[in-house]
Amino acid sequence: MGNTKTTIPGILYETFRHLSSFLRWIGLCLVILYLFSGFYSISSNEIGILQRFGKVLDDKVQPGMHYAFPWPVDRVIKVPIRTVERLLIDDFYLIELNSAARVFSNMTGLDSYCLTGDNNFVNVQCVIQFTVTNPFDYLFRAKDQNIMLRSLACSTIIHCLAKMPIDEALTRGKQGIARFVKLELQKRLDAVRSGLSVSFVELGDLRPPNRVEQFFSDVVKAKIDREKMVNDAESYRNERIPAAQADANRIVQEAGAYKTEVVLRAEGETDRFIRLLERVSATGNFARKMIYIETMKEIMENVGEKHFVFMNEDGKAPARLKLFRPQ
Amino acid sequence: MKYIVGFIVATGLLLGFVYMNSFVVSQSEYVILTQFGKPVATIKSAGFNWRWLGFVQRANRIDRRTHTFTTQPIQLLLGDKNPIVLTSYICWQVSDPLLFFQALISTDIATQKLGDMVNSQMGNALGDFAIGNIINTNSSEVKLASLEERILKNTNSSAQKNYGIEVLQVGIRRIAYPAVVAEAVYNRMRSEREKEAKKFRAEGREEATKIRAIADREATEILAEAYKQTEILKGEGDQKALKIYSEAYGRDKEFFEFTKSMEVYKDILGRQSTLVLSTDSDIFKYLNNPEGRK
Repeated sequence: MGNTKTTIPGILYETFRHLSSFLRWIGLCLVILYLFSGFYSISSNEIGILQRFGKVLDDKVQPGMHYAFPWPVDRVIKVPIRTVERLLIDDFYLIELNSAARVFSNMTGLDSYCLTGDNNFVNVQCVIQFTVTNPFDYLFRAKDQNIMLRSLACSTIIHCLAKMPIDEALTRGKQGIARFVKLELQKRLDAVRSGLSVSFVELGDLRPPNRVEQFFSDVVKAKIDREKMVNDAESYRNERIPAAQADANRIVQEAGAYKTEVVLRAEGETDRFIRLLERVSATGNFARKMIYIETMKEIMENVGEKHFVFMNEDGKAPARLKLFRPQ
Repeated sequence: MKYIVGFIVATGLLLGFVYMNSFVVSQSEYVILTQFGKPVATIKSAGFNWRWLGFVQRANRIDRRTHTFTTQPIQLLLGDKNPIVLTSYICWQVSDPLLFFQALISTDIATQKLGDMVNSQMGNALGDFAIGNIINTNSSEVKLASLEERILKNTNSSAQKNYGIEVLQVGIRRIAYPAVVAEAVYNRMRSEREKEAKKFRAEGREEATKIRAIADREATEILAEAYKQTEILKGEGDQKALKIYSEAYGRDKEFFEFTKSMEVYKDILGRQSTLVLSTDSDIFKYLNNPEGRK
């Protein structure tokens, strides 16, 4: 076989031999790389599910570095469990573009609303916040979780409002609705083993349908009007009674003053009278005449118009006197 | 060297053989193995499985997860002849894969059949319910839950028997009224609110009028009481004064009349008065006779 290096098959064989030793290294590297591809990491907000040929070996792989056999033997699915997701339930809300209410409306041509216990309509919108708490159920037991969640939530809202009068729903009922929806929805989600947990139900908006909303707000306005009328009347009363009391007080005071005045005057006058009387009885008619003359003097001085008439013997006046007062 | 080549080729062939003759069942599915279309095995547990070559045995995968879907809206009559439009949701899963496989083949068809079943059950069941059992402010009268329970029970037994489907949950997802009825409800809501608003305003007016009337009455009472007191005070004063006068004047009636008259003359004869006086008056006694007139 001395000519093996010169014959064409010999050259081919040599080339192949060199090549294959090179390829062997590459192959080895590939195998090592393949085996290393089995390392995987789970971050802190995830849970891993390890499957071997589709069968779940471990549904709670904790965060950290792990090893599994590479494809196609093992497979790891990472499920975010601490992420809070939100689903807007707008089936009973206004018909807007792309809203869930529109789907129903397009099918039936009917408005979107939810019935209340006293046979009224309300528009309600809420947000369901949920997390995955059971990754196994989430992955392998439920399909289309969003459709599931939406359907169950809608039904829960119907159940809740079917028992509630509209006035309660619109005012103090909101919290009760949210609480009921959360509890009942969780019960239903557990019953179908969805693997989901409702963390919060936020009742975004709850109001009468647009068509009748103005009449509802008018009721609120009427309540305010009622308050205002009563307040006005009360302020009238608050003015009226103190005013009356002030008036009453004033006239009573005046009457008291009158009483005092009358009595004092009487005392004064009688005192004077008694003094005069004493003088009269002491001096006889003299004092009496003095009083008369003094009084006449005063009168004569005061009277504006005076006419003096001389009388004849027969007691008749000699002339006629015409009296008039310039206007 | 030859061994290496041989090994690689052998491994390749082996893997190919394994690939062609095996399949993997996921945790989320069942597999019905059919041989020339005839089911030969049902595999319910997940894992690695063998089969004959692809064209001989086929693995038919059936999703075992819970499906949820919504039925078409349907208008139905309640027991009291009230029409309502309903939509329901149904949660279901395959409980008997073989029966499901033989009966229905696909999920879409299953959905359709279940929807029809639920809607027809709903039509039957609603005949036993009045509108007051669907919505009521008295929560013990609301029988929605028992309605759903009944639909679930009936649908489930039939679906399980015929299609190998277990219905897990049925719920009403939407209740509406046909347009005409809804119109009436809107009108009633409107008139109820108008009535309420009117009531509030009337109440306010009534209350306000009452408060004003009471205020007026109280004020009048206060003033009347004050007048009464005033009169009493005045009366007391007058009485006391009169007593004082009468005690004093009782001492000389004639002189009292004289002094009082003098005072009254002074008061009534003022600047506006016109006095026509005869010179015969006592005051002029000395006017033309120093000795005085007789």
